[in-house]
Amino acid sequence: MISLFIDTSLVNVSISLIKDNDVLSLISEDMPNMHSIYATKFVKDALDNAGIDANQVDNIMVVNGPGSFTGVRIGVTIAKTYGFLINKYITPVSSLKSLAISAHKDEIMMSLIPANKSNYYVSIYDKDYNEIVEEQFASRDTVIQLCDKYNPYIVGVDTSVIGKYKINKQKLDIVRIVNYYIDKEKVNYYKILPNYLKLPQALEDKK
Amino acid sequence: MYILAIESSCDEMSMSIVKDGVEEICTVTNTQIDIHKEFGGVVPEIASRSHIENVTIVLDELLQRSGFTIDKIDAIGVTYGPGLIGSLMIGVQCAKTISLVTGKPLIPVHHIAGHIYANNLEKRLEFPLIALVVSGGHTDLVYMGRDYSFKRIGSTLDDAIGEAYDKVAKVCGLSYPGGPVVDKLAKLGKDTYDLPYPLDDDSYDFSFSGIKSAVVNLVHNESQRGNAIRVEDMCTSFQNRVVKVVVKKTMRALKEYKANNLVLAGGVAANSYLRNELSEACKRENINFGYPRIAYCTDNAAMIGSAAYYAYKNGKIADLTLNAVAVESFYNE
Repeated sequence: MISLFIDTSLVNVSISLIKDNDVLSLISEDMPNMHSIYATKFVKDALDNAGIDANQVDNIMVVNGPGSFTGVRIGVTIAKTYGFLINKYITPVSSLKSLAISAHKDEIMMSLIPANKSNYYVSIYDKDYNEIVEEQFASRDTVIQLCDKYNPYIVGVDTSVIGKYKINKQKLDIVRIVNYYIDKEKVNYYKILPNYLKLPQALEDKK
Repeated sequence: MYILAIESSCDEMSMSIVKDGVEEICTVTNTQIDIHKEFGGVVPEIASRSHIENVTIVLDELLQRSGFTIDKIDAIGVTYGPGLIGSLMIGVQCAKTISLVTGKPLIPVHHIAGHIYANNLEKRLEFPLIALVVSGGHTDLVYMGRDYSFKRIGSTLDDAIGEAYDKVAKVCGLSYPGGPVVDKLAKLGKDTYDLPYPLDDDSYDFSFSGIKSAVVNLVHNESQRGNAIRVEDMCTSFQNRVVKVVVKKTMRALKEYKANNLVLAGGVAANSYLRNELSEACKRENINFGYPRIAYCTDNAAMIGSAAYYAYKNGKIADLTLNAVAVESFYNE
């Protein structure tokens, strides 16, 4: 069972081929604003490094958000086109849950990803990664209120603070993420879409 | 050679299969015009979101309708720019992924080259030629001595011609997109408004912001005085002046560059008055004049498939790092 994992949702581009608990290849680079140039090439490099033909992939997993709108669309477009061509459905992976799975703590965890202005994408999970607070686009004040209520272990993409709470930088543990998602529901390649959690500004303005 | 072509530079997701640069096998286009109408123009983020919803559906429909499998395709051609960056990116990522999975070559196509080659689907281009490229983003006079060689001899200094049409339509209270409406109403009016001629000089450049501003000011002044605008007359007066200058400069370019062939390209190539005036002038001067059918004037992937064939013959092949670009000149100046 070979899984192709694609994450272009944040500053980091991660492409990996995983077979059970083995990493066949992993390419992970910080490259702001260059996802559109390198993501597809990295998929090719990952396949070549592992000596695997494009058609031998059994599972395609893609981080479909929340995160950078354009970034997410790059990964999702690659995944759905790839899935269509080899006739495999796609597993959508949450960027927020990926952080919690990678942190792997025996306590309540909050995943936090900065959005525009001083807003965040946020979610809270129990130790089995069930959502206690569902994924949402939230203001800084809302996030702090959630911290006050749950006192969670906070994972994020950078070491930082929010109010009096510490955000712990978390690197993605792709093997753990892939193994968590391996038996989760797959989505038809026509239907898989980015999980934006936020309307385009033009529609916000109309409300 | 069968090329699968993808065009997604604005609000259309279009895919096509074109044989040897001249024969359209099948085209599937998903247009979003109704989605953007209520905003009075294309909203880039909404266009990008719609493209990603449609990209595999359009691809699937193209293969089903044409009866092709992906293995029968020899290469993939894709518009890489210019256009809306988020929109272009969906087409480019899709094309790169097809190239990655199938191992077929990837051909980068400039959007304007595509518009010019829309004419090649009607009749094989003959050289040397002058191409008049008129759209919402461009007003260029282009000289071509041979296939896939482009020399720009003149361009707009400010607004594109289609942009000026849309603006005039908007200020006259007409619906979006305004160009076709202005063209239609101009047939019903009289040339009564004293508007300036747009850059009527010895260069091959164009300028439409002056006449556009004159229309805007006239409409505002009249409305302040409580007078109604005669919309049909305004459309006639505007269109007459714009087309007169464009035709004049185009005919002069043909003479100076000793080109016996003229092709019209871009969205504004659908304008009936411009077509007629050019057609009359070319008849007088014994110039071969070609223009694409309406379906090939607006953004479509068939024209990209035609251009891609000649780009490929000229050695234009991209690797998987091909990027979408919002602004890009393809002229060899």
